[in-house]
Amino acid sequence: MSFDWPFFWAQLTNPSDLYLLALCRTITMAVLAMVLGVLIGTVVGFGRLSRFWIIRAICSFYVWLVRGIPVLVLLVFFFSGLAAAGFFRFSDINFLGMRITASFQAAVIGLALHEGAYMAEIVRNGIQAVARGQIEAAKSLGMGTWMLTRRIVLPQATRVIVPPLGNDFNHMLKTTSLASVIGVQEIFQLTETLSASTFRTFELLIVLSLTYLLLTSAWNLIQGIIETKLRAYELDTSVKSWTEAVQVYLQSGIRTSGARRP
Amino acid sequence: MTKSAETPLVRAKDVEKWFGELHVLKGVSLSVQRGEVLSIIGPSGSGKSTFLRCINQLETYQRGSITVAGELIGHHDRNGVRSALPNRKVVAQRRRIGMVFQQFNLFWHMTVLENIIEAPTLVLGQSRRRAEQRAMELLARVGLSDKADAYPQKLSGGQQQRAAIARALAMDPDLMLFDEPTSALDPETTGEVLKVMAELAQSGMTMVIVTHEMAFARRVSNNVALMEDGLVVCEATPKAFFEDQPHPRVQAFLSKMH
Repeated sequence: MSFDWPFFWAQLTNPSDLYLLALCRTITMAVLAMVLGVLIGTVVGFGRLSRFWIIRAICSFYVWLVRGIPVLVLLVFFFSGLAAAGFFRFSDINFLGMRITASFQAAVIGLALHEGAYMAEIVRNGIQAVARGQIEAAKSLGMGTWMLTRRIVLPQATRVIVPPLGNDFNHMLKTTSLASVIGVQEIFQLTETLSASTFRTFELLIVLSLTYLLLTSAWNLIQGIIETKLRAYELDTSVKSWTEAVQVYLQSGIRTSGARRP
Repeated sequence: MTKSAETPLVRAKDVEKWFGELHVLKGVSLSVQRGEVLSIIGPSGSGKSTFLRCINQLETYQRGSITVAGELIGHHDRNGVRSALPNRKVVAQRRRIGMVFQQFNLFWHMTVLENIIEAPTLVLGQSRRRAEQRAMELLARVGLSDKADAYPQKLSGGQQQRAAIARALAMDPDLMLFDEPTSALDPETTGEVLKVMAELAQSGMTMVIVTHEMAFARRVSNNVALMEDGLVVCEATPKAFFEDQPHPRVQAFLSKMH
């Protein structure tokens, strides 16, 4: 067995433009799918607590359905399944001079729908964690339903939602590799292609793994800072701005643990 | 105290409420004149908190009427036909009524100052500057000037409750409701909250207080009412209630308290 150190270092320290482009696709896909997933999850999470049974039923059905199907199957279903049945075919579009491929769109939609189902449960749990007394206090101050949802329920639920949301995004960063199956040229697919032509499979896979580790580590840091900011109410130091949150997080090394509420 | 001919600020007449099958209020009639303090005492489960919560519509009542400043609370009444108020009206009615809770219920994600200016700025549309100025005045009044930027979690129970009183006062309510405001406090901090409430009563605020603090009720109230099993058993001035002609049920209740 031989390990090609020069090749490995070259890949790691001086990645090709092709690899960086693939990395951009991975990150963009993860961020877009997550943002959409959080939006879907918020709507569905509230929907599951609706006064109207029909809305509750539709939302429950969605969560049940999507959580019961593997992401990989969802991706293939959206890209090939719908087209094969003649329902809908994704096609490449140009956006601000960039070409967004059909497979990329299908991947984002599939990942977002999958994430939305999990987020819905996280959001529902977060809303239900808001104490009744907080809502009664807001009502007694003359706040209407929308105002108290926006000013009291959502900010308090956010403290409960963010830790598992961060966990899901960590998953999402890695789950994007499944999009390779429908032809999205992200880092996993590119690695496969490169290893087929260079036969440096082992080296390339280590570079790939380190890339994912780099992404998830960066996210850990960001999540820690966000949680520090959101937990200002229980910290001894004043954390008003994001700059302060960064300082407090880096100094105290607060780990990304579950949010605690009083 | 002689009954004035003026219409009472709060007038409850034959209020009845059911929680499902449970008949919790069986015809409560009480009234409070503007500037007066009514204390409601009674064993737990007597319906006193439920009655208080009906006044600002955290609960609905099914029969009878509650009026605040002449306005029927919670219902439309057109030619004897009663219908529930739309939510918009409910919200508007609550603005004139402040409430203080047993568990304080300060918004834990906001500082004390943010708690106080939240409703004045958003609900009443006051400028932030003006609301903050008023908040600082109120904080001085309840003795918490140095806690404006603290989060509730860093305060003692008594401090939280005083901040909650300041928050309710920031809306300039016509009426303040207190739902067992000191029941979650230890004896040392109970005193500081009662002191703030006594000062508030002195200043002429109309107050309805559900409490177990007999000495306090006796000292600050214009009227004291005993509720038992969903009914007002006895309502009288503190002197009559505690001294002159103790109702047998009042005697029985008071003897259990000591």
